[in-house]
Amino acid sequence: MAKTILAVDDSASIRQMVAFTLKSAGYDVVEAVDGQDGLDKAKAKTVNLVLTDQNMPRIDGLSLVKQLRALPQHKSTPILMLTTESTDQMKAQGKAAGATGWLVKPFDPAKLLEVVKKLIG
Amino acid sequence: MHPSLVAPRPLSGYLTASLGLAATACLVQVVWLTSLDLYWQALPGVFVLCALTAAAFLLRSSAGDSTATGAYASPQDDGSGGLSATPLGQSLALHRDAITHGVQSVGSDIGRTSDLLQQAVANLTESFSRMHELSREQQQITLAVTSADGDGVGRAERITFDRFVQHSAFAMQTLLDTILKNSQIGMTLVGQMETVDTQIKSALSILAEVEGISKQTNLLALNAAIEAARAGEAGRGFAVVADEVRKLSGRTHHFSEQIRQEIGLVCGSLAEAEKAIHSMASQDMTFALRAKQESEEMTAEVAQINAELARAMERSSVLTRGMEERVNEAVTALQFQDITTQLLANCRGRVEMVEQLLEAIESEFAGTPGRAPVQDVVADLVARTSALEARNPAAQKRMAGGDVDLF
Repeated sequence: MAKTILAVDDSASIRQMVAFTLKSAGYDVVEAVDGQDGLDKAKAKTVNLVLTDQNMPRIDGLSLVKQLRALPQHKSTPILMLTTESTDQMKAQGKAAGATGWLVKPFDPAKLLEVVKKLIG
Repeated sequence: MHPSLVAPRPLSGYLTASLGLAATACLVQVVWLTSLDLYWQALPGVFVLCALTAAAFLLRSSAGDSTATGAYASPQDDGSGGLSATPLGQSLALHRDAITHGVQSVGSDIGRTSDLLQQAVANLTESFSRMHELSREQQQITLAVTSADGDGVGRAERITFDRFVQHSAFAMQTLLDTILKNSQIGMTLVGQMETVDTQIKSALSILAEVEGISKQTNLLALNAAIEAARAGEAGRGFAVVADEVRKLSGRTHHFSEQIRQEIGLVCGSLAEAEKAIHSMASQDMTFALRAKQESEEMTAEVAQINAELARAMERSSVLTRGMEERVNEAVTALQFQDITTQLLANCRGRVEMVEQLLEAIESEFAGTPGRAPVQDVVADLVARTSALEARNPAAQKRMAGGDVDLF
């Protein structure tokens, strides 16, 4: 059974590219248009990995990570930040919030797949 | 809603108007640079604009304390002699409208640019996705046609070009061996037929001897019968014996004739068989040699085709891998839209700051009650600009793949 990845980003084109990259490698992808949508879908569906942007309407990426970590079913779910933010300060905040890793946009599809495979096979 | 302006003192008024014109020119430059996506180059213009505005404010303040005393009147105080009715007031109002229009146009253009970029990138991404899928499909079809396990499930027994060549070569070699063996057997049979022919001739010679004996026996029996007749009564018994001997001789001759006829028939059949075997043996050898040569040529051709096919497959795989890499590069590059959209949003924010500054200047000139001092507005704008600089959500300056950190 294919692993499911939740892709949270307010940019439709980024969601499209993430979905294309992951689906090509055999993963199922659930898309969410912002942090709140991502939180709702993470609660409603079985998700093996979360990939989220930082700057989004309603709930930003770091807040989403914190709220997901508060949910029993996502205490150990790998959560990757995929964002244009690249400062060490932001990465430190991501780590403190409970993110598993930090990927800076633009992402290289091969590197993204490498990281995802490393985390969930 | 813009309040009307009231005329300041002449000298400071003209200096203020000049600074206003310089600020307008500066704003036009900022708008022009941002429209060309040269956001960073436009930034100094924003600061110069702020400085000009601050200078205008200071000049106005130094021109006298008349604000409080009513030299600058509120719109309600304007009456018929307000600044809006003077050439300077009209000029400032004209510049203000131009600046407001410019700011709104830039905001509108930025919005349209973002929308167009999003649509174009969505289409491009869809095209690349489809191209990638088609490439993979093509490779799988090629593998399914040429590879034993191209589809990966239970096709190990399917005939491949390799197996076809191997089977054909083996079958042809077996056929050749059989034909050559049959040919050798045929030649052996021809030799054996010659031996049989010799042996039959020998048997016929012996049969001729038997016939000679039979004739002599018949002659002896005849002589014995003549002698028995001469002997009269005493030779009667001997005559009977002689007659029986003659009959035996006749039967012997008869059987010899029958044997000769049978042997003649056998000889004829053997001769026919020998002829057929000889013909078959020599004909099969010719066919076998020709077939062997043709088989070798066909095997070589098929092997060559197979080798070319293998090279084509390898080339196809390389092309498919290359296409996947190019698509990945395209996916990376296409993310410029997301980054550019964020840069445009920043740009729009900066332009809106200019609009806020303009509003502050207008309020200052109009003496609007409760207005924030221009110095505070400028300080706030400078602080916000610095904050944007310090924490730019899209600081990337190139489209190479970003870093990956696992905590």
